[in-house]
Amino acid sequence: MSKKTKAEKKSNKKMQPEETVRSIKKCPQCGIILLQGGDTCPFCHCVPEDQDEETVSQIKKDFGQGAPYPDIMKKQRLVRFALRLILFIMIMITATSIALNFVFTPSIWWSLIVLAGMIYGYVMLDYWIKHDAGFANKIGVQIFVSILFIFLADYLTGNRGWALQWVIPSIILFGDAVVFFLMLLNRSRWTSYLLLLILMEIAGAVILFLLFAGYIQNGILVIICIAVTSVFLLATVIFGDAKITTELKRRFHI
Amino acid sequence: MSPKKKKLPAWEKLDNTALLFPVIATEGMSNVYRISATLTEEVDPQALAEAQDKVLSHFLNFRMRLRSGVFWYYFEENDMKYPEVKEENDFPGSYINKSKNNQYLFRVTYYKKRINLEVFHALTDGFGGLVFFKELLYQYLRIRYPEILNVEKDQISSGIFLDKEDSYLRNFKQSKDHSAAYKSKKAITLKGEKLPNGTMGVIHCYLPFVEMKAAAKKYGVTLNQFLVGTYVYAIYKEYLRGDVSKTPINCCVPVDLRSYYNSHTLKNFFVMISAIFRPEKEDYSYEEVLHIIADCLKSQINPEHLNDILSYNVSNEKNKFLRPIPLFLKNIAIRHVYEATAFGTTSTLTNVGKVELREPYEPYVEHFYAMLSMSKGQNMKGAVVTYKDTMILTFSTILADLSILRTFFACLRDEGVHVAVDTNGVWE
Repeated sequence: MSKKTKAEKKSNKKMQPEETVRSIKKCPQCGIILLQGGDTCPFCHCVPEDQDEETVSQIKKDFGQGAPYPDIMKKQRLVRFALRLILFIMIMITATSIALNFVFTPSIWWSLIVLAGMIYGYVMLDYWIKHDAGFANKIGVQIFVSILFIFLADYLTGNRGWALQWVIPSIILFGDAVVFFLMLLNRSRWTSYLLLLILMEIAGAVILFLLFAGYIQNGILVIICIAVTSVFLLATVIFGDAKITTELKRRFHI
Repeated sequence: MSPKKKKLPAWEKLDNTALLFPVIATEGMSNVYRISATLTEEVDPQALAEAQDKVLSHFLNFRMRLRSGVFWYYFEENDMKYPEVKEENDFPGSYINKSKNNQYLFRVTYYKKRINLEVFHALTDGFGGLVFFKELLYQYLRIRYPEILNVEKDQISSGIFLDKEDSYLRNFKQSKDHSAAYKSKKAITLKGEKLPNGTMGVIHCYLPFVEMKAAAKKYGVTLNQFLVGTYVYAIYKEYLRGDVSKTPINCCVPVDLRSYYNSHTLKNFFVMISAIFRPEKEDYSYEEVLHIIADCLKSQINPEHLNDILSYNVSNEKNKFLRPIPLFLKNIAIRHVYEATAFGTTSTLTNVGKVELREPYEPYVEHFYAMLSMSKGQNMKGAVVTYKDTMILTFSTILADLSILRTFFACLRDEGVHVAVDTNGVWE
């Protein structure tokens, strides 16, 4: 049932007195009756004229008094200001880092990592705030983008292999943990995370393939990652029973 | 006793029209429409919340959430708490975030004397929205004014259909002629200075039904043809300045298919036809434009043509080679096709029709309104609804310049129609 507390509170508040209804006017140029009055006619910008009481009561009888709207612009301005403030702070931090880097340690361009991190952070913030998708979807995209970001960072800093060897398997393991907790928290819809789990299994399998192909030197974490994800997926499918079958049927319907 | 085993949530496939909306919906192009009504007194939020909960329990197709499959989107019964009834705090028809609002695809809001129902078009069309909205109003009025219960039962109306069939698929017949279905040639786009980003302007025009009917009769056209014709004429005069143009003005008009196929579905069941006016000479008169538009609409509203459009739309969905393509690829293709054809339409004008309420409820409701959100290439749209003696035509627009409407009203005034107007104040 819907939350009644807020509605009740509003209802218990004494009904607000009718806001001052703006006087009904008529545009002498267009001949249109403006139910909400206003300083100028929105169509020709001519100053409208007031109407006498008798005409106003006839208009109210014929057309009613219109339907006022809330002032939305104020809310929009606040949201835009908040996003701009975050962007401004991020730019300031990056600029300061670049300046400090240039003055104190010009031989190592560590500030580029700050810059990349800020861009990544802002893009992700924008994605989480504005993008319309469920948790599972957003986490999936987050994991994928993180993997890509880490892989690129490794590649651009000498391609030493630490991303594939340690960090990306850790991200997948972290993803497993997140999915596990989400399934516990959202028990009535735990099957929603199945596709995400399947995608992580595929990502794990790709890294395992790279391990066997010789691209990864130390495969301990890769093995742990694929083992944990596989056991998790297997347990989900076996214990999920009819719910999993139904979920798969719906998700894969053609 | 063992605890009752929880039933698996119901699910269903999206109807043919609904397949498009989740793909193209964005903040600026929400594909959300609004139906609202003003009452004689201020709205009681608690009674409205109670009414929503009661009515919603009967309407499974409003209790759905949208989910992505590997190949298609689908609806699944939403087991979350019913959405909160809130005071209006956004522009009409603003985007319905599928992961917020407890994942429901509609919202009920209020402001002073007005109750609003906003629906994501994937769920249902104006017909379905109106069925739900009327039941919501009835229920609200029964709670708010218990004296109605002396003559009415406290239950949803008998005689309404809660049918959820996909009437597109049910009535699909292979058509011989697909070329007649849609023409995607470029049409005039209404450009000009726009309102600040994210702002939606609303203009309600109150038109006496009798005067409108008399004006249409004078030219021997239907009310719908008269409205569309006048609107197209206003665009022609203001936007083309009465000049010759190779690019036509194309005003889309949705046609409810239920009466043609004897359907009562609460899902989408409509097609779009086009009122096309291509000025081949200078200075067409108002009457000439009215008759061109009337003939154009008349030629398309026949069972054969409507069936051509329906079968063209459904044929892609039924294509066995397209069906197994993964959803993300389908989305890219659908978005691409949509964007390529979006500029084939200048505007849309829809007529929801005449709303009638049962006698005990009627005195409590003053007006009905309907409005549409913006689409790509269409910066102004109109929606008409008639209740009691007043026809209310609501234009929604992101344009700062309203000269098209000035000409539109001037035409109506010249035909003896008294016009009263109300806006949401964004032009002040």
